[in-house]
Formats: sequence, structure tokens, C-alpha cells
Amino acid sequence: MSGIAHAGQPLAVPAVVGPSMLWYITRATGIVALVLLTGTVMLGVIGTARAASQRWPRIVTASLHQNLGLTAAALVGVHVVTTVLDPFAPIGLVSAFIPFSSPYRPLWLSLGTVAFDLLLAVLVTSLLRDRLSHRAWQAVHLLVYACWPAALWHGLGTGTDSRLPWVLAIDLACMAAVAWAAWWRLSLAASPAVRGTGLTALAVLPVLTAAFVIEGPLRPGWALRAGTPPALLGRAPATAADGSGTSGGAGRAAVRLVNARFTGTVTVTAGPGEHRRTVTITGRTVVAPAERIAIVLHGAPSGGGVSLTDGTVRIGGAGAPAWSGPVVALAGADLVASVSGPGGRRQARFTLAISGRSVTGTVSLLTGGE
Amino acid sequence: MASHAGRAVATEAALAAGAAARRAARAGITSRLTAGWHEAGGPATLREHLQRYGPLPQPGRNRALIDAVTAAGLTGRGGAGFPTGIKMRAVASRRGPAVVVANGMESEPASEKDKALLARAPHLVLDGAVLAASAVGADSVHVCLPRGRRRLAEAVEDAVAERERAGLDPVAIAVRALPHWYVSSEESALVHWLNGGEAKPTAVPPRPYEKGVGQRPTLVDNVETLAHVALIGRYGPAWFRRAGLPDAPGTMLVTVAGAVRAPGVYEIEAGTRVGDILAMSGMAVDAGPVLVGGYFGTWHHAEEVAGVPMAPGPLRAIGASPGTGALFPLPADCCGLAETARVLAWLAGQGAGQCGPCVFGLPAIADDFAQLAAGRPKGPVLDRLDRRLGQVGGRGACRHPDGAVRLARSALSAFAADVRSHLSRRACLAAWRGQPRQGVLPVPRPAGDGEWL
Amino acid sequence: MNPIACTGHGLCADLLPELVGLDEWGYPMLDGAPVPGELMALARRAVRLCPTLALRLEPAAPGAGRRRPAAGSDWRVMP
Repeated sequence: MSGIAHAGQPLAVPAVVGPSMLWYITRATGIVALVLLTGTVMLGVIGTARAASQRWPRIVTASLHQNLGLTAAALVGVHVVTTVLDPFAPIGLVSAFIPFSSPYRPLWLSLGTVAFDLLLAVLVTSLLRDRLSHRAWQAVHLLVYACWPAALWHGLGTGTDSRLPWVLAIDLACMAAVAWAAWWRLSLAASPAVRGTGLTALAVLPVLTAAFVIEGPLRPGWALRAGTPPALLGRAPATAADGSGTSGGAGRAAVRLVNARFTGTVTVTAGPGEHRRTVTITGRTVVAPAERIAIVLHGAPSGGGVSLTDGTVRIGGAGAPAWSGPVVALAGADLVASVSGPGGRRQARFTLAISGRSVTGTVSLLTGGE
Repeated sequence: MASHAGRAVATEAALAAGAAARRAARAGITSRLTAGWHEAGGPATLREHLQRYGPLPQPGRNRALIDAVTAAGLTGRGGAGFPTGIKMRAVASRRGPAVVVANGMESEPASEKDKALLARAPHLVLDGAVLAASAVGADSVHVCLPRGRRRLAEAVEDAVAERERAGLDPVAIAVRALPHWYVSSEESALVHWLNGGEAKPTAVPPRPYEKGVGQRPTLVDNVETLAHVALIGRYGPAWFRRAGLPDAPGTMLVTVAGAVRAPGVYEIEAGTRVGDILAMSGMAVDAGPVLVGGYFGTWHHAEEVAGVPMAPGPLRAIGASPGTGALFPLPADCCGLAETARVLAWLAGQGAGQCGPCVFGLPAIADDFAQLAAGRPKGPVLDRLDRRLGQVGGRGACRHPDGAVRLARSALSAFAADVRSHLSRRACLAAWRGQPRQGVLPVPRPAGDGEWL
Repeated sequence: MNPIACTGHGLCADLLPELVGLDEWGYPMLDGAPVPGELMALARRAVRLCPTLALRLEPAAPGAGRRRPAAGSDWRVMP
């Protein structure tokens, strides 16, 4: 059985990484950007329809449209930058502009790339509006009707959270809003040809989207079918935050660890179950009082190593575990667990360096303030 | 002045050959452009033309022609009356090769002079265009004609071919056929079409003399103006000034129609009194007000206008302008309001359709006028007209709505009695004399897409 | 204002009723008077917000901004 790491290399090889703060920001900005883009599109349609009332004059629509559009574009910018910077998925700067240049869920990511490119075109032409002819500006601006659906499907296909009910609700609301706006805009359109194709698209696309969502993200195993590189499939569940540790026995004095060094050994065994491996790290902190460290990680064999999916951590003395809980994040050589013990819930952070069968690293037990 | 006009009719018929024409020209009689028109059955051939007027002066990049035209005081004969010499100088002073456009569109339905000129004396126009081209440094000439007039275009093309065979011109002449709308004879509309766009006016600068056809400085002149240039080039500015007034020198072509015995195109000395011109063509004694200057002109009572010289200054004093020289006294059995309503409706449809106030305002005004003419006003039509006439003018890319507004206002004033009787007794004075005749003012037959034949 | 570009959206009249009136068909009527200082910011917004970019600010005198009336208004119909 091959070890989970080669000599001298950190736990990160083979690519066992977990989500970091950047990944959260990417997902959050993506969802909010979609909502803002939806609002922008609706305001644009209201402007075209020249609808106004006493308390909502045309200038409000126009002004809001411009400002909301700029904000949405800014958020998309943050979304793209954090995605590129985030080491979790192999998405580089090139992939922000060129579709199909990343191995991460190629089709769904490229939809986002295309949406981003279109948005850039609309943004640039709008900022340089006084240098362009009205017709040229308008032609590019109409591309937003291609950009928005691309963004929506990008979100559904790549979105980590696509299957969450509240995210689905947002997606559905956005789709309904834009569908209504597009229907209204089409009913004002002059040429019957445009109206015909538009209304057909309007009827067909939501149905297609619904079908896709039901068959796709909502069914388990979507990540693999969407094209997530297999190495990434084992990241620890991001949202599970409730630890399962018991607070254990009574009265040990609160453990305080800040970047405490520890040493230990690492073993890999088969099980539990078929095609599963367990990686066990046991050790002690170096400085007295020596605390026991036990980290148990599970995963599936992948390449020359193990692709880890979950694990538990224990910090504390024999017999009565002081702090324990599940691993919540694994990124490179960093491991984060949410442990509970006397004094409530804490976050345990480890850095690990594995060399052959021995492990060294540091451990910190953090409260909110540390 | 009256004697000049009388002599014009009598002696024109006597002119036949070039020498006689030059003698007559030195005497200042008004048959400069129209020499030989009565006798000829068609256009003058090149040989006849050269015999009549003498050889074409040697062209060359010469300021002499521009100076001569300026000294002669020639003004544009296409309706705007801009000093031709100034225009030529403006084009000549710009760098790079220029372009000359001869405007033969004559979109004014009440005017026939350009058609007559091109049909009878095309070489005069072409001479002028070529001389102007040399003077301003142009290497090409475009003669713009409406595409519905196939025979006219062919006649001009034949004349161009004659000149090519004789190797007469150093510049290339192209005859172009444009879609015929009222607005397509406007300068920027011509340039726009020649540049590959629509024959509709553009609002954005630069002006044609700066950057016109192919972004080159472009001289756009009415064909009659160019005909005068051809003669000034031969006989000089002093000769040109022998006819007309000091402020309005030379001769001009006018079209007289309506309540006259002899309607047609006449050449008169500028400044001839309107009354004399009308008398020359045999105006009926019971004719009504006269439309001076075509469909963008104004209606005037005969007494008001009879003693006024046909020249920009004196006419401006009574709120009129020569325009393209069209005079139309209204026959006694016609209703001026009804005729004006017809013309307004046609003008409303002849807009380029580019600017809101014209697109919406002109049809509204035409509709109001129609109500007035039919004696069936909906609501306070005069108040409405007053407001709309004030709002529509000056807010478009071209002067089309302004001209229509001017016509409407003058009709309300000249036919004020009719207005009163239409509003109260629902009939006009003409109707009291019998059934009013309809449709005397020529409104062209539509040929699709607003164009006409 | 470029009269060909203007399609009568009327945002300018909404923002600057002191300077822009609307005719019965919704098209703006500008008097070409200089824009007073306190309305300059609004005038700039109106220029930016016009959906067809038909509006323009032109200097009338040194230091003053002016709304331009119908463009090309000195062109002739019959040359």
C-alpha cells in the first residue's frame, strides 16, 4: 500500500485541499451578483418600455439601472478574482476570459466565462458610450440577453450550493423575474419575427432549465458528472458545522494551545468498507504538559494516495478526551477541526508535515478571539 | 421693368443663332438661358450649344472664375439664395481634391424650371459644373436627378456622352439617379446618398463644403446656378450685372401656373415686378391670392405683391421669398384653404421621418387644416393650430417643418375671410360661386415609399 | 440636442423642468438659454441619462454651460 505522501512532501500531495475563505467569497458573490444582474435587467426592460409613475419617474429607473449594473459588474469582478486566486479549483486567470480552458467542470465554468466576457463588453461600451454610435452601443447592450441565462446556468452547474433549497429559491425567483421582464419587452417589440422567436425561447428555456436542474444538480453525484477533477472530489463537507464530539468527562483544566509543536506517526489502513482507507495520525505535543493528538481521516484511494472525505480529531489525555470533533477543512498542509470540550466549542488548527511514517507539525486551539 | 418683361416675350422668339444671341445678350434682354427654347423640340446638341454661346472658356485651377462669380453677385437659384462665389471660395480654400454636385432634383412640385433647363439646355448646366470643378479643384462632377425621370436622365447622359466624344471636359461627369422625396434635394441629403446612405438630411456637422462626398470638400449647386456660372465664365461679371438689380443681379427662371393663360417657365430679369410677371403670363382678372415661392413659400393677395420686385430683399419685406421662383395665382373657383390642406398633407408625408416634432406635428397640423377646409372643426382648431405652428418650427434637423409652418401661417392670413366663413357657415367664398374646383396645386402621384414620379 | 437621435423619452424634462418643456407628443423643447450654476449638476446627469445620448452641453460663454437647441438648424431644404 502506498503511503499517503512521499518523503518530505506535505499532506497536500495528492491534492487534498479543502475550501478556504476565498471559496466562500466566490460563492457568495456569485449568488448576489446574479440577483443584482436580474434587477439590472428588469430595470433595463422597464426603461425600454418607458414605464413610469408619479413616484417612480424615468430618471429613477435609468439611474438605478446604471448603478445596479455597475455594482453587479463589480461583484462579478470579485467573484472572478476570488475564483482565480482560490487554490482549491484549478481555475487560472486565462479561464476567466477563454472558455474551455480549465479542467474544472469545463462546460459549466465556460458558461460563466462567456457571461463574464459579455458583461465586460457591455460594461466597456457603456462607459465609452459617448464615443460610440448609438446603434453600436445598443447592439452590444442587447448581448445582455445572452449573458444573463449563461450566468444562471453557470451558477446552477458549477454552484456548490445549487441543491440547497434557499439557493434554488433564489434561482427560481431570478428566472421568473427575467422571464416576466423578457415577455413584457417582447410584447412591446415591433417586428413579429423578433416577437415569435423571443416568445418561443421564453417558453422553452425555463422548461429546459427546470429539466436540467432536476436531472443534474439535484441528483447525487452531480459534481463528478459536471466535470470536477477527481482529485477535488474528496473535500470535506463545507457546511457541516455541528460537531459530534461529546464534551466528555469532567474537570480537566482548559487546554490552551497556540502553535504548539507536536510529533507523531502516521499509518494507513484499509477500511472501513470496500474501497476506503483510513489514515491515522497519533502524536503528542512537545512542550509539557504533553497533550495527546489523534487525527483519524477517511477516504478513497486515488492515484498514488488517498482522497480524503472526512475525519475526526481528538486532543487530550488518555481515557477522557478533552476536545474532539470532526474535521471541517483541509487545505494543503492545514487542517481545521471543530471540536467541543470543556468550555464549549473551539476551532482546532493543525499544520502537518509528513515524512515517511513520521509526522511533525503545530496545533492551535482557538477561541473566537485567538 | 415692365417693358423689359414685355420685350422678353416678344424677342425671345426671334433669337436663333449664336451671334444674334450674343448681340441680344449684350443688350441685356432676358433670353440668356432660355435662348432657342421655343424653337427647339428637344435638348440643344453640343454643336448648337457652342454655336449659340461660344466656346467653353479654358478651364484651369483659376481663381479668376471664383472672383468673377463673386463680382457678378450670383446667388443660389435653388431656393436658399446663398452667394455662390462665397460657397465656391469656401470649397476651393480647403485642401485636397474637391467634388462638385449639380442639384437637379427639383423637389418642389410647383417648380418646373430645372426640368426645363436640363431638358432644353443641358450643356449650359454641364459647362457650369465643369468650370466650377476646375475653379475649386474638383476632379469629379455628380449630376443628381430624380430616378423617376428616366427620359430626363437619358437626355443628360446623352449630353455627357457628346462631350466625352468631343473630349471637352477635364473632369469626369457622372449622372446619378436618386430617390425622389421632398427632402432629398437638400444639400446634406444629397451628400449622404452619394456617400452610400439614405437621401435624407443629416443633423451632424460637418457641412458639405468641409467634408462632403467621400469626406472631400463638396460644392453643391442648383443646376440653374451652374448655368449662370457657365455664362459668367464666358461673358464676365459686368455682362451678368447688366440685367437685374444691383442687389439682385442677373436673370432667373420662374415657373408660373394656376390662374394664367400661358403657364410655363419664363426667364426674367431679377427684380421684375411680380405683377408684371403675372401679367406677362396672362393672369386672370378674378384670380385669388398668389402663392409665391412654392410649397415652402407664402400666400399673398395680388394687390399686396403686384408691385414688389421678384428679388430676395423686397420680397422679405412682405414676409416672402423667391424660393425656386414659382408663382401660382389661385383660380377664382378654388378654395385656398382646401388646396393648402392638400399640400400640407403631402408635405407631412414627405418628411424624412427622423425628428419627432416633424413626424407628429406636421400631420397634426395638416389634419387641423383639413378640418378647417372641410368646415368641420373638432374643438378650438384655430387655437390648436396657433400652438402647434409655434411649436413645430426650428426643432428638426432640416427646415422641412419650418417651410410647412410658413405656408400654413400665410394661408391663415391670406385666406382669413375663408377661415371665418368656414368656421361659421361651413363653406368658403369660392363655394358661394359654385362648386369649388379641387386639386389645382400639383401634388405628385405617389410611387411607393413616399417617392413620386 | 440632436433632433434625429431624440426619441422623446423625456428624462431630461423630468430632471430639469425649469429648462426643458415637453410638447404634446413628448418631445423636449429647449430654449437654448444658459444653464444656471445651481442646475449644472442636474444638467450633467440629464446628458448622461438620456437613453439615446441626444443631449449635449455646450459652453455658451466662458465659465457657463449651455444647453444646445436643435442641431443643424441652419441647414436649408432647397440648396
